[in-house]
Amino acid sequence: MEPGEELIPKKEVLRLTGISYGQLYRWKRLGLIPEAWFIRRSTFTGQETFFPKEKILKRIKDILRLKDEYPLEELVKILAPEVIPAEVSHPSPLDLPPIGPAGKELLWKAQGYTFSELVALASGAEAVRRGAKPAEAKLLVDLVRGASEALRAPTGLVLLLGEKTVEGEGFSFRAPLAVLGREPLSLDRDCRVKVRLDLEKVVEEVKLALGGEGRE
Amino acid sequence: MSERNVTISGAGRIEGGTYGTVKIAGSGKVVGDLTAEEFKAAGSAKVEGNLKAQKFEVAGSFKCEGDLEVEEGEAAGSFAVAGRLKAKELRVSGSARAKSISGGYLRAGGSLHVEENVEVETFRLTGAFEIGGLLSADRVEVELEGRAQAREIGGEKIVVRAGQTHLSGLLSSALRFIFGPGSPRELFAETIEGDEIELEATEAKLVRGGRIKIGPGCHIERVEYTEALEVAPDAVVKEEVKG
Repeated sequence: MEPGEELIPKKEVLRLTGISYGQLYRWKRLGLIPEAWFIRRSTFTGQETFFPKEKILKRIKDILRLKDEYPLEELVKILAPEVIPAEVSHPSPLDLPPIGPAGKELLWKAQGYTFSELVALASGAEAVRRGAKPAEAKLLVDLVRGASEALRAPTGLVLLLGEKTVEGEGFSFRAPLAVLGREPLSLDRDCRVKVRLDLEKVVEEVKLALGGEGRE
Repeated sequence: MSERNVTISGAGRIEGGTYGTVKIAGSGKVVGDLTAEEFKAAGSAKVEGNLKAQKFEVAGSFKCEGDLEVEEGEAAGSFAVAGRLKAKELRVSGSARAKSISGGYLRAGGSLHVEENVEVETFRLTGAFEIGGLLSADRVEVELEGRAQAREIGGEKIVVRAGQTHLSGLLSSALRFIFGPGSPRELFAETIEGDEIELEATEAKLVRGGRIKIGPGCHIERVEYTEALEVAPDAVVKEEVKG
């Protein structure tokens, strides 16, 4: 979770939204409510589960609004495509705002990009927009493509693109490097971070872009 | 779909790949990931990889080193999945182990041991279990014939009953064999949450929900309910909170 994010206890979520325990657990099981949002903390009565307030209330509102129109399995594709990354595909990634023209040189096939591949492209494209060279951004793309499992629970994950300066006698060169991990990340002092991305934000942006395409 | 079928009788090994029907009678080993329409084994079967089968039937000893995904399955004897187990419909009797279980309908008789979560639509168990994480289902029905433990239990309707002393047949002898005679029938959980909860022989820190019945042999630290609460005379509830 992000620092400063307001938390809300489970009981309060049920009271505010009027949903039942059965619904909450069913939606969690289907992946409509991500595992990472269930935050266990000790309280005076024992362990209690908390949620990031804004996210959980919005997600429940979305589910309640759409659940009569779509079967729950379909809702997962709309609201939580990270759960089934292979089942979402998009014909022209460059039309999605989080990718856009900046992603042009990062494409590796003509069409049929899955959700995790779209997130990989969006990470690279964002790096390009922030001044990275396409060859460097490709490192990020490959890193995310190989970590599709991480997209199921991207909360707290960051992507770094940087370079490391290697100096020896009579020579010095810079090599690009990409990192996927959880803060606080420490790199040695010969490394310089050029782009820092919050993976969860990238995932959310891709989801929004996909959901905005005539699905609602 | 490929209609390549393979049968082992006696002892043998099968390379991974896509098959129609795979039958093992005796002792068989699968090397690599295997997908089959039907996987049947009697005796001893081991899969060194992931297994995906629409119909799955094993009796005796079955071991899978990777993930197992089945549409409709039945396992009797000793059944162990080192990875994740996913099933639309699964019936197990004897001793079952998995890292996690997800899916639709799970019926278990005997002992169930799961490292992480069990998240299914319907969970019916007679026997004992140890679940390291969350047990969640729309309906959780447990008949205790031994010691059961889960960190959390959650769902729509949760019913836990202390099993009858007079079990007959194979299951009872299997359970006596596994747990020994006179083993305690008790369920331990930190939290139990559901819209409708009926408990017996349960020890929990927090039970929370809509309509709650705390039956004989229960020891609950705190009950929070919104609609109704009934507590049996010999049950202990330290704290009751409405609202």
